[in-house]
Amino acid sequence: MSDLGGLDLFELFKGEVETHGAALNAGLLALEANVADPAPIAGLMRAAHSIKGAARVVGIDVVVGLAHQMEDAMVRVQKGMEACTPARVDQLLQATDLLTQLSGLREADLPAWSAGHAAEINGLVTALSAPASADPPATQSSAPVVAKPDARADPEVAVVRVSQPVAPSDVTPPSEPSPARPRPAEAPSQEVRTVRVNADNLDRLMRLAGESMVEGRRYPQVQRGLRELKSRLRITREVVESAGAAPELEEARRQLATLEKALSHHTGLLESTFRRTEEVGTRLYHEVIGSRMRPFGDACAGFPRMIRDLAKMLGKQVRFEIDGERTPVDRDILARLDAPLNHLLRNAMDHGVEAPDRRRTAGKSASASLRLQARHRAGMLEVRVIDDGSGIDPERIRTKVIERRLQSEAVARDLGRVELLEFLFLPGFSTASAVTEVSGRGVGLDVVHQTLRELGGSVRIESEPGAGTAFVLSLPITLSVIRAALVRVSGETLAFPLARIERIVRLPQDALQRVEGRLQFELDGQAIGVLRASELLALGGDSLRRDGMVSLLVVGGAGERTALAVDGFLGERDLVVRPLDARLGRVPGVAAAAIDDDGLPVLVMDVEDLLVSIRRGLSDGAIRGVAAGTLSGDARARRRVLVADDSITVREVERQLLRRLGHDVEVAVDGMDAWNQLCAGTFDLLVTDVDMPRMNGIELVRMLRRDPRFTNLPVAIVSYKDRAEDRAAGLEAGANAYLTKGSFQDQTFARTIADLIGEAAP
Amino acid sequence: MSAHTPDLPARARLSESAIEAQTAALAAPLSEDPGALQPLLCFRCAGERFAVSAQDVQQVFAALPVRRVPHRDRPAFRGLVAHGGELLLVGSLERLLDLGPATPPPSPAARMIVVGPEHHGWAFQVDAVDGVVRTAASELAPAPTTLRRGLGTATRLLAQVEGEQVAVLQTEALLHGWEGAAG
Repeated sequence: MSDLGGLDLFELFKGEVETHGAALNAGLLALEANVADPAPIAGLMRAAHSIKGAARVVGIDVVVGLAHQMEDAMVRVQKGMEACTPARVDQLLQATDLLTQLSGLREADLPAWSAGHAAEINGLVTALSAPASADPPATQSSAPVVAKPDARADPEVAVVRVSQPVAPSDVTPPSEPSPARPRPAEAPSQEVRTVRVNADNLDRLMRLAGESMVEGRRYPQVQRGLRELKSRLRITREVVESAGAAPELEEARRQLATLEKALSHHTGLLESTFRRTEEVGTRLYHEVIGSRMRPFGDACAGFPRMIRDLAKMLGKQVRFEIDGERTPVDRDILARLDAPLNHLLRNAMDHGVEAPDRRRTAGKSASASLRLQARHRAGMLEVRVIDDGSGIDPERIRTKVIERRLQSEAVARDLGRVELLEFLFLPGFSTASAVTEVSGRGVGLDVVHQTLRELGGSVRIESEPGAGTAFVLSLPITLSVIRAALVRVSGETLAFPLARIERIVRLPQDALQRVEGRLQFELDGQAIGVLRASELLALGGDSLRRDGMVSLLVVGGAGERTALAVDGFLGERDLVVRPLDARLGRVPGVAAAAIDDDGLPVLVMDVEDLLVSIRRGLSDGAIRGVAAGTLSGDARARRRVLVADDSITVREVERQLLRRLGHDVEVAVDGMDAWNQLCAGTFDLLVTDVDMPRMNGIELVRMLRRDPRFTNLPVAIVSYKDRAEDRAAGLEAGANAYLTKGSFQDQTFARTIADLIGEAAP
Repeated sequence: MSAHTPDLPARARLSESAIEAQTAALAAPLSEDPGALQPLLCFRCAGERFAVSAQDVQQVFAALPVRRVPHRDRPAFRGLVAHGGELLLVGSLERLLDLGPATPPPSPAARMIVVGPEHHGWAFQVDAVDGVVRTAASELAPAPTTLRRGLGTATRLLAQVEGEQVAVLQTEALLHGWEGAAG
């Protein structure tokens, strides 16, 4: 496909399919809810027509044909030539599903997709061209259609909203009267104008806006210089004035007075220019950050359809409402919210909402209510998934807790409702009697909990037996800007996200206690060990002040609280985070980078990763905590290294080098052999070649990174391949370092090994 | 891009051997004009004069503070610098070429030169930038074998600038060395 101003035509087509597919879904559901109202049909025709036109441009003939038949079928309904039957809506929804699949395809996969779906498309084209019947045609699958998660926008392309999106939508099965009239798919007054912007360009714009704001704040530096200049002029004038009344001095006095006046005038001009620059820079910066925001409704496009299909499948009646679709949310957060919301909604449909008969027996209306709400609250995004179903019985949770011995019976008996509901977030904990097709696949509640934690948020449950359940998700509005504590460690400025810091403590050094020679202190009745941040991050220095005070960051949850000793605190800042340069590979303990108010780089710490390093380091002796007295810990330990290379010569060279460095070494003759040895034993480091028989080094590293046992195993690739793309492939696969075999001849190999696993004990 | 319809009658007038000869001529690598002027950015570092192809230079700016990266304490890699709203990786020319200490003493004349492809460039600090000179390719002499074949060297050619011999550094070798140190 040709390229158009940096945007691939197929990418543009995918964007169109995504947008119009959402409009088709929404319009068809509205039409289904009220077939007497033809208002949605015009929007549906436009959507099908647009997809047809776009498919013609990129040359996907089967899609042109299908979209054409969809459009024709709608025309017949609009002209009253045929009725809009449930079977016709099903066909159109099935066709929409097929079309929206395209938005998730890569261009290279298109021929295979077209071939694989040819029969289905032909069947639909035939069915759509035939007169509508009340029953589903033979071409349609008899199994109910379960909506797939809505295809997300390409992560490389951001959609910038320049006006407000559509209003909330309702979904109600046809058998139940709708309290709110569904809206047409596209109402002209509510049309959303969007501009597709390459995400890299947007990020670059944000960085430049940040730089512009920083530049605007440089005035105090300039002001100091101008004050110095004024002061020197004043002194010069005083010297001249005291020198007498000679005519030539009179001229000098006049010149000096003119100079002082000019200086004052230009200082004023400069000051106002700086102020305007700073103001514009700050506004620009906030506007650009704002452009990363997308309305919450963008994440909900597929949900009405999913709920409609689930309701049909489960034989339930549900009125689904979305409130707060206009709530702005960072696009990265929005993308991460899809899976948790999908799970919670499926969970609500499967376990929360009762069947109509059961609801009537319980004195409720046959149609259940399921609401998805989003709003900003106290600087956070709050999302609620609320049903008026059967609720969660805390006594069933209590019984499970006791059965599974998660708590002693005595403790379990005392647990309150809120505490009991928390157990639902434990992995594998469920009160459901059976795992079902609807909510038993995909992510579980534990993963919902984990995703929220990763996003710096939380989730809680409110439930009343018989009355319903609400899952309340609270998370930051944006990941682009984080509030962080800036600290000094070994002369460097590092940022720790405030959401990940439990406490900031400054103590007199003698408040630290000694246990087995290591330092600790007491906080809330709990002993907390002290580790040097500089040691953890391999930055050198001891991170402990010599003025008798110690600055400590307390991180980690209950049971693993740890204090990191830093040189000092520099305050709190809002930082615009950006990814770390991929050429650095994975840097342990570092999540991202930013630029501080002084225009200097600052690294944003990954506290979760630091905690993993701490756990690992403490268990294998690499980290022992800050020693009392000398304030230095012994970080050295003997490590076990696996060397994988199909060349016996290289294997032996590496084995000798690593042994000389004091490590125990095992060897593997190819990637498969290495994989087997890693699975069978415990290793601290893998050193691997790339080109090997049976399984190459890149495949090996990818396999390791997919396996939770080896996610954090340090890996160094050592290869003859030294092109930038080879290095990038190795690092992208998940290697921590990529070296060429020339590194044996200098100290690079040894230094890299020491960086990855520390120096060996003597 | 619009498709071009081949002019079949015109092609038919050429013999097969003529077509082959023309194809071979088109496929042959372009020969460098020995008289063509090559722009070189000349600078000083650790007491020596160097040059890089000006075509490989993205930008030059006054030296800025460099922040170190945890777990990346390697001689040829200094850390990160922020300029123009971008974060750039900073390499050490001194340590890469074994010229002297990694961090040059601060000086008002110190500059940072960014070389390499856009968005994947490397910054390195030099004592001063002398400017751009244009040198004929014929005036570039090969560097001695000790440099051309030496491990960890980046000089392949020597240029005569203002009567002095200046080592022309191969950008690819610099990038290769720094990327090895950072990853």
